[in-house]
Amino acid sequence: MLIGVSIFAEAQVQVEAYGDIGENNVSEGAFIKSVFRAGYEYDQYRFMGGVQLDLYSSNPNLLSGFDITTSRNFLIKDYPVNLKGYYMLNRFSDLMYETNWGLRLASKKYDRFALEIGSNFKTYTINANGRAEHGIAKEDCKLREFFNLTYLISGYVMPHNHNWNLGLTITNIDYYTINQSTNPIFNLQMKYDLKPNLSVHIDSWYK
Amino acid sequence: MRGFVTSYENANVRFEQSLIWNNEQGYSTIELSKNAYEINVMGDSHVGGVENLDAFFEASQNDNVAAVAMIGDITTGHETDYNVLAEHLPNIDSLPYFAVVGNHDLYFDGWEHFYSIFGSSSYYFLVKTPNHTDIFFCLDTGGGTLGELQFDWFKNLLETERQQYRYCAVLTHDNLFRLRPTASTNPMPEENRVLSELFLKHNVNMVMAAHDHKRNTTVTGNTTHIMLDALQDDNKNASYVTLTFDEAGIDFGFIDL
Repeated sequence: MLIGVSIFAEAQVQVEAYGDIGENNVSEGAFIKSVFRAGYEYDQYRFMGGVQLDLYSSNPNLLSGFDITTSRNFLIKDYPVNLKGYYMLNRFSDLMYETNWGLRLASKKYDRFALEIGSNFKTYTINANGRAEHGIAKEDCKLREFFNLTYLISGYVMPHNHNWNLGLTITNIDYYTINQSTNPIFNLQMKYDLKPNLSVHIDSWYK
Repeated sequence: MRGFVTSYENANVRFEQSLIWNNEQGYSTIELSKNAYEINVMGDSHVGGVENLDAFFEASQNDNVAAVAMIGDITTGHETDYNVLAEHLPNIDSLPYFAVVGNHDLYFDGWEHFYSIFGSSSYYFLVKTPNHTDIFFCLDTGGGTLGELQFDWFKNLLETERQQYRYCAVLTHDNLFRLRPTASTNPMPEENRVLSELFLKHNVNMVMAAHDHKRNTTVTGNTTHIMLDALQDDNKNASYVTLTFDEAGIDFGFIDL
């Protein structure tokens, strides 16, 4: 379960805060995470960055994730699209971390749908602490996976700019986690605009 | 995802049944009079066809290996295939064999047949030489996940038992990482992260997997990951792997059929 708040402080500035409560096979009970993101929009460009905090989990790192995204809106013929480049760091351990980077091409041309397709390059790395503690040579500290396809298909009850909405998404992208394309995630999402510049989101994820 | 199109016992249910078997039958120890030994490992034989399976067992007996391991998708899941497999298994006293379940082994209520032939799919076995003892963990990833119970069991054993042994290898069906363009599915990233950390922390020397049908190897930290070719009869590149354990370390080689 993920509960979020988005605030557009000015036309170009956006701030988001999320609380994420969940459980999985390896979490050793429930976890509570929090994500804070901030973005700035200029003309057709947008820059966004965020941090993830593990408030309650088996991860020893409080600061468990970091990401930056740059995107640009443009037209392909008459088709409005948004191209994003992203980098994510996931500090899941005090000995190792995971990075993901790639491109995502998104469109909300249709009122009740959002579509996205992209690429992802994932690397697992043993950090300096892990190398020192376990005598690992630097050349043996990385495992690079082959490029992975990312996707997102969302359907909504109301048009995108409506003051409330309910949607269902199938994707392999979560905040700070990207699954293999054959491992889809389902996301039921609700949005309500409390004010023109303040929105509340509630997402329920099933993996 | 597979749960949407087919149904079978989930990982926790299979693990509980495996644990009952382990408690009743105990864990195997192979005692050897020499310090160097070999283990042959194959995966994805997908019986019906048994030509390559027979060749694998015959070569293993001729080479006098300490044991063989079959790491999943041994059958297609049909009862008739399990019956064929049972007819072709070697005498376990002359060639000790170990098996873990793969996704195909679970189709068509295959777990029931697997359990009746092999019993547990979550266990360990030991190989004891005059100077050392090595531990081999056999893990059930046939459903694409270890499941919470098996994960806790595995983690606890690594934390409490691993340091007693020289080498540690993991034998399982699902390849954990995507090293080539493939549609074969790995476990979820959350599980891979924690497993990777456990392999590092507890000096797991080798992780053997199948599932992807095409050989691949990579080294991360002190862990060598080996993915096997499919042994099935219609695979032009069918092979198995011979693992060699001695005082100098662990070596491996792909043996083409």
